[in-house]
Amino acid sequence: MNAPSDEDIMAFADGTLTGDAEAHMRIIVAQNEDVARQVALYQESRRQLAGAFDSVLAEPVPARFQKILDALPPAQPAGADPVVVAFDRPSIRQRKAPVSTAPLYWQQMAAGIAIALVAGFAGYGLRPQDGANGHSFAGTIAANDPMAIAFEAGASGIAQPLGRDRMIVPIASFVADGKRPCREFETGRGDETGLGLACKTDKGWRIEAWVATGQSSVSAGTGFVPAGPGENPVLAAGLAALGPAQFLDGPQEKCAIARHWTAELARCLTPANASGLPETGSPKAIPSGQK
Amino acid sequence: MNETSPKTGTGFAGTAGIRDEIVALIPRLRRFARGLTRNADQADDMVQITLEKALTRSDQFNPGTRLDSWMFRILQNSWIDETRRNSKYGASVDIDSLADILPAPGEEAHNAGAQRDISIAMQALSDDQRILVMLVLVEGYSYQEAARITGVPIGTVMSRLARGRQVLMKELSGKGDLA
Repeated sequence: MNAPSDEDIMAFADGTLTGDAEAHMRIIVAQNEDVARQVALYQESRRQLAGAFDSVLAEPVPARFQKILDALPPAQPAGADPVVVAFDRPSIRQRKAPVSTAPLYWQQMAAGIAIALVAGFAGYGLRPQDGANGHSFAGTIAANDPMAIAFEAGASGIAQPLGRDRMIVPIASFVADGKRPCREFETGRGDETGLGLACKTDKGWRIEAWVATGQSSVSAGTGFVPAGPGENPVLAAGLAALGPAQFLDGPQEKCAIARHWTAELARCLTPANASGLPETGSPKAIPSGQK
Repeated sequence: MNETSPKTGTGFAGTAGIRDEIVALIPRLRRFARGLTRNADQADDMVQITLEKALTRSDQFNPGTRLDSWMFRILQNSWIDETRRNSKYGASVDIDSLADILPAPGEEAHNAGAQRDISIAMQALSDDQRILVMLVLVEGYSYQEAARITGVPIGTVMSRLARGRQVLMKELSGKGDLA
């Protein structure tokens, strides 16, 4: 029996061999410990690389890309998912912030935002000219990514490290459209801050929307902040696109974390807690009209 | 380098929805570029070049083919051209940039350490190997699709990829990740 080539061993490890070739390799692997070890290492290399660079997906897109894309027609195919791209702060500063009648907290946040700009934002109910400083990511975050860990296990209001000098703070938790567990969150590094929405799918946590705010709104570790997108156009549109939202209070969120945001979290939404009314030290319910 | 896939390409200029498709690809292009360049600024420069080339050469794209493969091909070709033109890019490692995208040790100790080791281990690969490791292991392309993107025979793809993974595993095992 001839020794298999590196390429054959790799292809077997990757599951791309079929038929006789696959059966032949299976026999070799069963009989040859060295080959079996190589197969295991190729598989390990795939496992380790998967998701290794996914944190890049959650970074703001440089504003200079927008000028290039402006040459293209903005129309979106019917039925397509909304696509939103964040452009970095230089372009944000080029636009005025929207006038807000929101509470002071949201006014302060909106002042740092400038208008959210969106490419192909029809699915969010906004026109492209409404904003291009918005942000979205079309990818699901790897389970071992610090962001995903924060969404999965982090209590609202508690900052968690996100890189050397960055942090992420889950702000609130809610169930969208009666079935999708979601977190509102803030990211920050110095004065580079942003707000976003992430929801859990069967493939993991997925960023649904994000917008640069330019100023921090959360004092890490000091407790909860108002839940809901307020007058933030990207967050409000992003939340609206997710469907009706039922925000969780503190005990409900704790219960949802314990149940890993699975369908079992429905048990957390008991009638006693389903009102979503704020409790002391708990995330506040989203104000009516700010869905 | 020629980014023309089919000679009968009719382009996408004026095609409704193409902007959304390109927009949706940007995060993946940035991830791919970051893996190639190991430097956030250089990576975004490469993505910008890719976007500019895609628009100016849109007539070379055949709407019946995969836009993602076409743009990844532009990016990898642009990167190869860049490294040939300016060899310093091939040896450049921006540790600050690396730290920006990866958690520091002690913050998310286990995962952060593993991710940092992977990025450092990637530096031991040749450009050709790194491109294929990124395309197949990070971006999830098949050997065949990676061959189409890189424009080399599938046998060469598999050979380079196998060798690259061996180097990667050796680097990582040296750090105890593949005990």
